[in-house]
Amino acid sequence: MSKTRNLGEFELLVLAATIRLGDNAYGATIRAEIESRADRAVTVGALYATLARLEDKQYVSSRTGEATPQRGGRAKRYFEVTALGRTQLDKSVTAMNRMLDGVAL
Amino acid sequence: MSRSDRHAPPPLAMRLLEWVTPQPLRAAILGDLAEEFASRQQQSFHAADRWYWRQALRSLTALTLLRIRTQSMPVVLSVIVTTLLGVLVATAWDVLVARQSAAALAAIDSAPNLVVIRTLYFVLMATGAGLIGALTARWVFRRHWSFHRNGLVFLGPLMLALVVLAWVATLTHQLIGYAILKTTLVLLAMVICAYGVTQRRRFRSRA
Repeated sequence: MSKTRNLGEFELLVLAATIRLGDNAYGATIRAEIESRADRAVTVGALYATLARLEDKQYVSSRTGEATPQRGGRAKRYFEVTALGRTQLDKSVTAMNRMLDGVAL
Repeated sequence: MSRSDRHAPPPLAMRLLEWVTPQPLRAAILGDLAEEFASRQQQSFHAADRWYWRQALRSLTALTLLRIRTQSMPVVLSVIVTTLLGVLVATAWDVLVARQSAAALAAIDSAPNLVVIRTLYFVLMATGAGLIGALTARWVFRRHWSFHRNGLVFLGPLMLALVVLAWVATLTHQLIGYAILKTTLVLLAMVICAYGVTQRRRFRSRA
């Protein structure tokens, strides 16, 4: 049995949104992606706390991006899912699918 | 400021977020909010204000916990661990070496350069304690180690250890109080070390 625990629901959403957005994955776009696709309200605090946790686990990496006047001159922080993060996402989704297999909803 | 010429988010909410947000994420978080605020205020100033306040208030807990976990806690714990280690090392030295025999104590007390010896002793113990504490902190919080905190981790504990060692030295003549102090410090050090080991295991299991 694997020692690493499966991802939580919100972690899964964040990783999936980050992969979907590709090179344009930063806080605002990840939040918008989750809100529009998962129909779930997301606060900036919850999002960044989760991203920090995922970065601790080395499931995502981040880099500082450009600053724009619209952002008050503050730089963006772009996120990218690592190979380890993709593997963990795959494992979690597979585990969930196995659990739901044959369950009448 | 009139509504028509305003472009900035509510200043109080922004200050609140600046205060609770961990420094490395501050620009990204405030920038993201400013970006969305700018697009929302094109439709309605009031709605944009309300949205910003909602984001700020609902993010308080998560950001505060994140700040404690990533910034304050390692520094605070390293200071405590270092200080306790300094006192423990000094106590052990005092009990095991300096007070082991009355003859040795008498020899030290009667030494002509007593002040120099004691000063060297305090400096040596404090430096040793500072290094031990810093290395312990680095070992426990390896994944959160950064240049920004190195100064705090080394210098803060060193200064605290110096102060506490000097304080303990004044208590050495009050044996009962000294014994209680030692016991309390040993228990505290054990609790903190146990916490450190737990944290270390948690970090390892994440990797």
